[in-house]
This record gives sequence, structure tokens and C-alpha cells, in this order.
Amino acid sequence: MIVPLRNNRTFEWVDRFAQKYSHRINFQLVDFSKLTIAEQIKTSANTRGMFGCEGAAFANILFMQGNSCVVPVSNEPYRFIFHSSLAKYIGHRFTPVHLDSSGSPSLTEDDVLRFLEVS
Amino acid sequence: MLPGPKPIVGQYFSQEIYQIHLDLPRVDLLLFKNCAVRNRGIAVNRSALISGPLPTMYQSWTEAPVAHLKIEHSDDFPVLLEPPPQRDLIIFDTWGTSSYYHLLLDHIEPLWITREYLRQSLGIFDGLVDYYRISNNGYQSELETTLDIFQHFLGKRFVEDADGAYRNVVYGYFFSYRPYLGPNLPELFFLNYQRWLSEFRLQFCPSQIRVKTQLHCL
Repeated sequence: MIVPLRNNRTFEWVDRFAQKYSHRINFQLVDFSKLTIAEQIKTSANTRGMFGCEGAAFANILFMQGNSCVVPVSNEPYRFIFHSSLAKYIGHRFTPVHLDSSGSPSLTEDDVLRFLEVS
Repeated sequence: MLPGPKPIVGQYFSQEIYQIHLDLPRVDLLLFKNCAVRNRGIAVNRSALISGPLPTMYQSWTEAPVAHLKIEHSDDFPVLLEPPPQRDLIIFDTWGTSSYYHLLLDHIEPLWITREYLRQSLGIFDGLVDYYRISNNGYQSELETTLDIFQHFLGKRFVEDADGAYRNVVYGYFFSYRPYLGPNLPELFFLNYQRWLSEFRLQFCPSQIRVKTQLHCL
């Protein structure tokens, strides 16, 4: 499960979640900005999902196998549509996590975990 | 003895201009045959009629579209095309290319679809293709790797100052639309776009390439 690294629009909840459940899910932190485009494609093609702070790295869901899971996290819900629409076209499973003004997620950790573990 | 007038051989301005309009999602293209491009303009026969506004590639969320290409009539722009040109050119513009998302989904993928459509449907653009970014729409920020990424998918880097004669020139692209157009517009779903997205994935996604190979082996 890829967790894209970002320099801005980052959310502590993502880090806490990934650390807390690293024994159950094989999270791989990836800084796509350090990879060539060929490496980005290869890395994306070899994963079954992407979870983390919403951003441009989610464009790489274009290169993931169909029926992968896509879980962007953001406090700006309109941003999810960038990725939900693309996910729909490709046939990925999509579940966004909306953080409210206090940083609390719209889904329970169990719900997110269940969705990620199916992948 | 003074040299006489230089003979004009062959046509030196485009006498063939095709407008391509498709819907679902919308496509507006201009296709020019055998013409010259210079100084952000293109030479056409004075009698050539272009009705309606020129197509534009990118319409931002809040601003009206801008047509960047100038149509020059042949009298103002004489260029000798001899021997006949063999290269093809796609003219495009960009916006928001400091973001990999916009670069890939708003520009590169649509340009690839445009080229493949022209290859498959009209049998053109099957040779050397140049790419000319006529404008960045005032968006100066750029990924350092833009040209590398562009070349990976389209086989060649784009230039920002085209000058020369071309066999086919296209202005406009498939699709001046993306999966998500903007926060103030409704989300739409087009089967035609999905089909071309699948073609793109068949070309560039390792997992899809394996599927394609297996299908060919059956």
C-alpha cells in the first residue's frame, strides 16, 4: 500500500494511522518527486492501493491495476473529485477520508482499515 | 544580369483546412494540410474560410478560453513549401503544469489521444510528430521534469517556438476535458473517454501491457 509523501497539505492523522497499523498493512512511503516517470509507473503498477494525503501523486492511480483501492485524505472534500472520477473510469475502489476542522476523520479507523485490508 | 522572379513551385499555403467537431465529450480541432508555421501564426489561403471561434485547448475554471494561434493569410505570409514537408505538428497550450496531475491528465494524455485518434481514424500523424506549446496561459511555474515526462509518453520533447513547414498541423485536442473539470462544474462520465483512457493504459501500464500481450497470444 503506497503512502505518497508530500511537502504541503499534510495531515498528522495519516502518519498516525500508518504507524499504528503498520503491523497489519504493508505501508510503503514513497516520494514520487524523487522518481523518474518510468519509476513512478513501475512503482504504481506494483501496488494494490494508495492511501494518504490528497495530492498530485494520486494521478498515478492511472497506472495501478484495476480494482485497486484509492483512499485520499483531505480537509477539502472538493479535491476528492479529481481522483474519484479517475478511479471510476479505471475501475478502482474509492473511499475518501474527510478530516473536519479538528482533524477528525469522517470514517472510523476500523472502517478505513477494513477497506484497506481487502486490497 | 539581374535574376528573374523566383519561380513558385508547389503550394505554399494551406488550401485544405478541416474542422473536426465531436461530442461526448466535446472535441474541437482544426487540421491544416501542407502549411507553414511561424511566429505563433499559420498561413492559410486567403479564400479559406474559418467559421466560428478557433478551438482552444484549455479553459480554466474561471477565465474565458483564449485562442493563441494566429491565422495569417497567404499574401502576408508567403512561404515556399518545396520539397513537400514530411513532418506533422500538434499545437497545444498548458496550464497548471507545476502539478504532475495537470500535466499528465490535462495535457499529455489528451495529446496522446489526439495523435492516436488521427492515426487510427484518418491515417495521418503516423510519422515524425513535433509538439509546439504555443502558450502556458501565463502559468509560469513548471515541474523541473516536465519535458522528460512529456517525452516518455509522446516520444519527443515539446518546443515553445515552432518555425517551419508541415504536412499536417493540428490545433486543438482530444479532449479539452478531463475526468474532473472543476469545482464549479458537474461531474460527468463519458464512455468515449473511458475507451481512450483504456487505450492509454494499454500502452503505458505494465499490468495492462501484460494483458494485451496475453490477448494477442490467444
